[in-house]
Amino acid sequence: MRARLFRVILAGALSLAFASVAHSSDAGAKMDESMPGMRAMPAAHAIPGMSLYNLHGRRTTQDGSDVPLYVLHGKPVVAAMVYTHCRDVCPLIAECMQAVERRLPTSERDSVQFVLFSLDWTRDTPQQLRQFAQQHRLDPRHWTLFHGNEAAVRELAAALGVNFYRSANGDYQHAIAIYIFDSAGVVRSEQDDLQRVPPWALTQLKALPRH
Amino acid sequence: MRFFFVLAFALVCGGAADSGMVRLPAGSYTPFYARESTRISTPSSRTVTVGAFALDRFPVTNAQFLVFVASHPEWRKSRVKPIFADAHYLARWPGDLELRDGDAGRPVTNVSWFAAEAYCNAQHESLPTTDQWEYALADGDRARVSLRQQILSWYGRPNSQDLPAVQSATANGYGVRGLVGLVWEWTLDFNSMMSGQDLRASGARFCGGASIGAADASDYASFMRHAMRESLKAAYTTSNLGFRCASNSP
Repeated sequence: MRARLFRVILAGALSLAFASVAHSSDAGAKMDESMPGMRAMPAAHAIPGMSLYNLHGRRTTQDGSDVPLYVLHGKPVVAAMVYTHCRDVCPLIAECMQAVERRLPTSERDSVQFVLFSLDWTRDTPQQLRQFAQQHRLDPRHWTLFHGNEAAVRELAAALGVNFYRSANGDYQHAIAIYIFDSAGVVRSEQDDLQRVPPWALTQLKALPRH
Repeated sequence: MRFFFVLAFALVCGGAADSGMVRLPAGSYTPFYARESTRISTPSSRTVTVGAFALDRFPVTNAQFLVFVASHPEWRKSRVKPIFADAHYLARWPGDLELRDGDAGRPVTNVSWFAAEAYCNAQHESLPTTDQWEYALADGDRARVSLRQQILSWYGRPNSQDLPAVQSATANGYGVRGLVGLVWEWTLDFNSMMSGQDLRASGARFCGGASIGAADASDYASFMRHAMRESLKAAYTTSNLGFRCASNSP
């Protein structure tokens, strides 16, 4: 007991002593830049406090790249949480987002990212997501689909406020909404009426600063 | 110096917590809201099966949470990111690593879902699912009527300024203490209920085919608990909401 007590006190002292050092070394931490499309992580304090890019979970794209959400920074995002085995509304969500993509002026299409986050941490493997993207003709230049493990899915759903229920047979019931993040990953608007999505998204995107 | 004292105290008080889990056997219970798939309907069965798991004997105390934030500085109140916790995070604590006198053994409150889950993950555990938590509360139906009365009388009591210490809570049949009478508790999937408002618009706003209905409309206590969970957002913190951790590993 005594030895353990000492260890905890020591750990506490060390964590205090290194707090400032750790902070500055965090600032220099970088992502693996050998990965295509990866950008260096900024200092932790450079990410706005309300940004989704503070989330810890790592995710895998439909191409199999293991990435943090921060890869999305720099351009606005139109996003939704779906699962690919969903037969009813989820394909409709993707179609609504494609409608937004089509209606964007050609000159602006490359400056917006379209993202689907899977809720299904067991069945929606990167390969399954790639198939879904192909079936629905999601343009790989603009679309990213993310697989996450259970913790990553729960973390993002909690942050976005997407209520979902996973039944014992692995099916889902989930709230439907499409979100717009600004280029720093802060949610700027959400829309739960799919019919209104295209005009809403175009107005919202227009109001955001671009890079 | 005060910090060291508090940490040492925290360890002594919280030390039991590492081994302070109770094993609950596999079983089933009837949730307040029964969920069934409309496609693979088994209307006869409203019960939910819960596998064996371990649950903290007590809610997590301020002292235990202090040990956590000492070693995880990103969860100190001066540093926590607003996406993870609202402005009332750890509101009772005078400082980043300071507790009020008498708070060490009281349940930690004003913690967000993110903070609670991070604490549990740091113990290689997670928050209990709502089914696990409710299953523990149902207590194998050992004392259903008196349990409901006990819950309702607690819910009806005004919030006292200071919560009781966790040690004061009595054990249920599994040996789990303080599920009733201390604080409301976060669950891993607190956000798994589709609200009444959402259900009314279910055709337009939900994907997938689960339907729910109240199993026992007279169970007002359960209704209150579900309504409370529905009202939460993951970054919310309040003075009567705490948590405990669960583990699925044997």
